[in-house]
Amino acid sequence: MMEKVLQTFESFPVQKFLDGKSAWTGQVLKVDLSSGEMRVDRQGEDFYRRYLGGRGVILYYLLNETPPGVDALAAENLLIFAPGLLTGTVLPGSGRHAVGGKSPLTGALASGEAGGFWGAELKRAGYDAIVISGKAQTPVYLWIRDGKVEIRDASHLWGKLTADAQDIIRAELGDKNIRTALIGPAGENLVRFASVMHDVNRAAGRSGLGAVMGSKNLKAVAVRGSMNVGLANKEVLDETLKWILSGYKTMMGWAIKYGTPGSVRYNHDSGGTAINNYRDSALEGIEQLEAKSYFPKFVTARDTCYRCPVRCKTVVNYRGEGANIEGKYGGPEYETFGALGPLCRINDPVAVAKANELCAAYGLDTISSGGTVAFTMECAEKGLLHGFDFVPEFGNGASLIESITRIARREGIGDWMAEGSARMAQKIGKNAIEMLAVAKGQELPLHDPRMKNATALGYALSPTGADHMHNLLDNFANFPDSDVTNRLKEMGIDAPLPLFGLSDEKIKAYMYEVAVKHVFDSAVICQFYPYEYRHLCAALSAAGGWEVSIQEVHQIGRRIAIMARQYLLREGFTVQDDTLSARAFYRLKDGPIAGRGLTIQELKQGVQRYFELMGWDDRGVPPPNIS
Amino acid sequence: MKEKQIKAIIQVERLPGEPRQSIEVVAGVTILEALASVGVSLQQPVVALVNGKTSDMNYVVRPGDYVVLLPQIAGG
Ligand code: SF4
Repeated sequence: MMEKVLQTFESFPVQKFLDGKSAWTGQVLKVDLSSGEMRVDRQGEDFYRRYLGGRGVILYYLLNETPPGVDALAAENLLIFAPGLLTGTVLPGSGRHAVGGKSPLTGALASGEAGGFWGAELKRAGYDAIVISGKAQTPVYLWIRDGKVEIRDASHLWGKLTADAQDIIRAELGDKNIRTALIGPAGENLVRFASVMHDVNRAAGRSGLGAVMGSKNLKAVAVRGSMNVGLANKEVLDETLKWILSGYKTMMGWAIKYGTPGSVRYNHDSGGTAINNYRDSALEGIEQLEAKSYFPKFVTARDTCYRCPVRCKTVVNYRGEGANIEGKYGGPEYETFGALGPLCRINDPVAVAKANELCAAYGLDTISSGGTVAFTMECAEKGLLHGFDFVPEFGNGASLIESITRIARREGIGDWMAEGSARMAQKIGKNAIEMLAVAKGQELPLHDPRMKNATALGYALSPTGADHMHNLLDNFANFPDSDVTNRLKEMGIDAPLPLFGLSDEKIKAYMYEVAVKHVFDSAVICQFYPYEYRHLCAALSAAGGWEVSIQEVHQIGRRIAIMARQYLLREGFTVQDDTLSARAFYRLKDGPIAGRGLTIQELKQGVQRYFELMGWDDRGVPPPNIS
Repeated sequence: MKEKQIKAIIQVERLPGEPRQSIEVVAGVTILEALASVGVSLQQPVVALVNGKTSDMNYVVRPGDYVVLLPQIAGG
């Protein structure tokens, strides 16, 4: 029998972490899968104060330890798992971590955050981050337990669906509470939008990090920790904890009741969801996807993240005609509903929920999956695809499900789709390019840029390609006392802001909010909590033991925005890439957002104004030596 | 008849499944002012649909308008 353990290593956190007086362990684990060598970067207070963790740490290592222009699927790319300063602390909503690297989908930054428990578990096992380089000769997985690390054989796991692989890992290590980050067949087959799944149902979904993991022959990272993530200064957090625990039921009533699926109908009705690959203003039969009809039939339980009382996640169990759906894979979130439903003109909740389950089992990003399938459906509709035994069709749920499987296995048209819609369009030609809805090659999330114009600017400027999470959603800034509006007012912005358009004030607001979101994703905490500055400052101060002001929050957010821009420029992107593809400018003739949307010129002006506000030149180049 | 001309209807949708509220308001003020004038408070951000078109919260309500307020929750 083959030796299961290939390499071992151990290292332990700084004493104050072991004593429960620090939120950081001081250890970044470095694993070179080519040589099997493991070591630790010892980091101190200065490092955590500058970068916090998460996206900040991802960018730090990408900029310092990868050669410019490296192929995202080459051994030299890094795969970085990075919880943040707040991950695993007593703060509710702190069960998150970031995963990053160079994206095989876009060639830009890949930086995705996942909820659940894995990030907190890694810190409890004694590490603030893992930086993985190289490529193992045969499939392996990492097993991390309280400072001890093993590289183990994973030949028997290769090819397995995520839940099956997780079951085997837990069984062979003899602990059913092990937390896993793992890829499915899509990551192994280098699908350019494969996700990294955590405990099978939480995705670091976007930008193809699952393919980076697959390219390294790394099937999983299993973790188990029993240390406590402490705080340097507990009392500072008391007021914030009181505010959350006494108010979350009201503040987050929407999340408790239906979670993000509760917004499917309203976003559709207000023009926020793209339909039929951006060409329609309404989806016939949308009521079937509406929470009040969907929940009783599909949602059998609710789930949560580390220390979060909100429980916004859904568990879908379904036995019925057409499909069986297993609860272990969770349930679709709003974005998934939008991408696999209306975008593909599908109103069948069984098809959407089944496709979501398959995305989790194969390890696929649901947004890019839906975006690419909808794009392919339109190519098929226009007769641009020849010689395939199968092509998907708008409104046909079975063809959506078949597409997901074919993408993961790279079969037939699935092999084209696995490259993402932008590469596919290049292959097909000009007619197909007209149908693309991407930014920097990444499929747009389901917040229609024609309705949300700051979001459009954010899609164009994001260092990861289109993303809604490090962005400003105009509707929240248009409302008098949303968390966004309240944060903006504190920055001196005259909020609420107009719903439509890109006023100067709105671009400024976008700049501030992006900085704050970089802090959220570096700290790494849940963005559903309506944190205001005083809470964010208190949490960071309590964790770090240094006093963090609003000004410092912005200094950190700005630093990360600059690092992200430097990374983009270093990887060969130019201001020409800070834009959106054709479909974002396609005008609807009827419905709630008829005739709405930015022109290319307005978007360009917005990009230039953002550069100016950031102190960058007209190519978006930050001045040298700023930090 | 005259009475009708200066009024508009605002329909407030709550979370899915919860009863909606239909309110008659006086035209000539913004949606938010109209709500305040009848003492209705919103628990979460909304987007306004005015006669079927997505509109700004500072839209000034005109006589005969039919305004629907749709709750907006964070995406993800
Ligand atoms: S609100 Fe939802 S996503 Fe956020 S931490 Fe809680 S359960 Fe997780």
